[in-house]
Amino acid sequence: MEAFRLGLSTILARKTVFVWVVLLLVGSQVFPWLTPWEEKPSLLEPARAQTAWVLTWLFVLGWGLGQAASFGDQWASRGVLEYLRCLGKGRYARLFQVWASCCAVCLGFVGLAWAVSVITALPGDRAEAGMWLATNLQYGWLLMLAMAPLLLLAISLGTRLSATAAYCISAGIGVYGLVAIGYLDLFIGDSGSGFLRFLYLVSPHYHLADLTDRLVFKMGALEFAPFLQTSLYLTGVGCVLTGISCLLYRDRK
Amino acid sequence: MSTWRWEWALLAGGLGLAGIPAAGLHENGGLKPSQNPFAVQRSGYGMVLARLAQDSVNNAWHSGLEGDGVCEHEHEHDGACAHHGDSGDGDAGGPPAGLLSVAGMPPRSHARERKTIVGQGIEGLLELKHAKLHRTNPFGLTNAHRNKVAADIETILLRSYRMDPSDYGVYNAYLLFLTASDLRARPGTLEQAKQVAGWSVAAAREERESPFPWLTAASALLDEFLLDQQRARELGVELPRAVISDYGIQMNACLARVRELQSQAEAEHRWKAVGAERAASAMERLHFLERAAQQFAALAARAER
Repeated sequence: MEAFRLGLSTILARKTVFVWVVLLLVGSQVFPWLTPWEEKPSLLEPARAQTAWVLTWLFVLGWGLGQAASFGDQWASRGVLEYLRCLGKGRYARLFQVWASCCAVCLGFVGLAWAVSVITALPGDRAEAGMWLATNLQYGWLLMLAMAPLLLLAISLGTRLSATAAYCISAGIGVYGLVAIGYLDLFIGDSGSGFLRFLYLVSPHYHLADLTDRLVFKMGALEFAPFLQTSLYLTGVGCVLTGISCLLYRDRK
Repeated sequence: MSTWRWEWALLAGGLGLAGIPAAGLHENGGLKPSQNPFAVQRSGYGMVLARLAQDSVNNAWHSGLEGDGVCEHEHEHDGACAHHGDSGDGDAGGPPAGLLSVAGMPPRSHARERKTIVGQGIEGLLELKHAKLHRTNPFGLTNAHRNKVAADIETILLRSYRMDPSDYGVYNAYLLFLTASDLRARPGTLEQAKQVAGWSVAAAREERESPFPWLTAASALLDEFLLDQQRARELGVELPRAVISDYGIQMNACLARVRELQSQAEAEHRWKAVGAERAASAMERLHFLERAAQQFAALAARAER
């Protein structure tokens, strides 16, 4: 697991991730004070959960993909991946160990967001508390299911392109699937174009992993059937991105 | 099996794995984006953004009526707003007063009080922005330009309204734009206005702490009644007694809830946090709506059926 240990120690040595951790812990408590909570105290707890999860999205899309792209670019340019190949590490072992180092940090951040949401925003009612726990677990699961394959894509693209280009492509796909696809939905409603409808269907619908409204408006956890369908869908998208990443990956530029 | 085949197999398998649940999600509408990423609209942050947007809402509203983009005096945009009288002024055949700046008239000078350097800088940037939109073509305003101006203003108003449909300022600005502005008010938009009023009423129904959404709901019910009355007048009929009574009952229920939640807020020492100005404005609106609600009984009695 040399690549994994090297990646993880590099991330921890750079310390940027600790800035994000402090931002999450402090921001999730401070930013909700911007809401009119003095008039309406019930706004505070959902706002804490909302802030924690939005910061998590920003962390993964901002820091996570950038770090993954940087690993791919720098390690391919400097021969680190080729060195690991000479040590007898398999092609996929090299790629997935680098991926695992980024994923582990992102997973830790997701866990922290889950803890903040559960500890500082848990509803008092027992039944609602159970639903809150379940919704947060579903949120963490779907977020990682959506973003983990993008981390792999960022690494693979980094081994071919510059870190900036790799980051822009992978982050662009992430933001498109999360936010911009809503605009495409509007255009389809107006134009009814066959091409747009096809594009809409084959686009990655990452917005399915955004369960913030279920927390803010206390809608309860997703039912089992749609949760399973969403998980299978995101797994399928993840498999496609994994296949593309494996094809794109190379040890040296 | 070579690695290349594994990768292509993963690609193909992924497409199949994603395709089958995607078809199921698409059938029941689960694939449709919510148009509210990260649930900002109608959350606590949405409420803050709606209140912060008051200035840009006022500027956008006045861009459609006065054209200078800046209001020199403080007022609420209620039905008695003096600007309504401005919109019809001007020579016959000329552009309405609301489009004076886009028709080539210079914008009014802004308030004369001394501003800080930052304030002057912001004012300078705003003047550049207005100059960019200042129409120098002396010939008639095209419909395309008029529609673009209307769409731009509506985008600002609708975006703010979506942040918090229960906020009175953004609701009222958007409703007046749909019903009173030269740029947008048409017979078709009255139905849209009624729908907007209905959304604001619905937004208040879940509220259990703040009296303000219920106050907005009472205003929205009055607006709905006035729109119904206007439509009935256009059709040459009268509103049935049952409809008038129903509006009266709903409005009184909303106003009772306002009083109840205001007392609750005072008892829990939350009313102080509202601020003196906002509280005074809300009380003034409450008194006006209570007087209006008292008229429903008399109106219903006068109705023929």
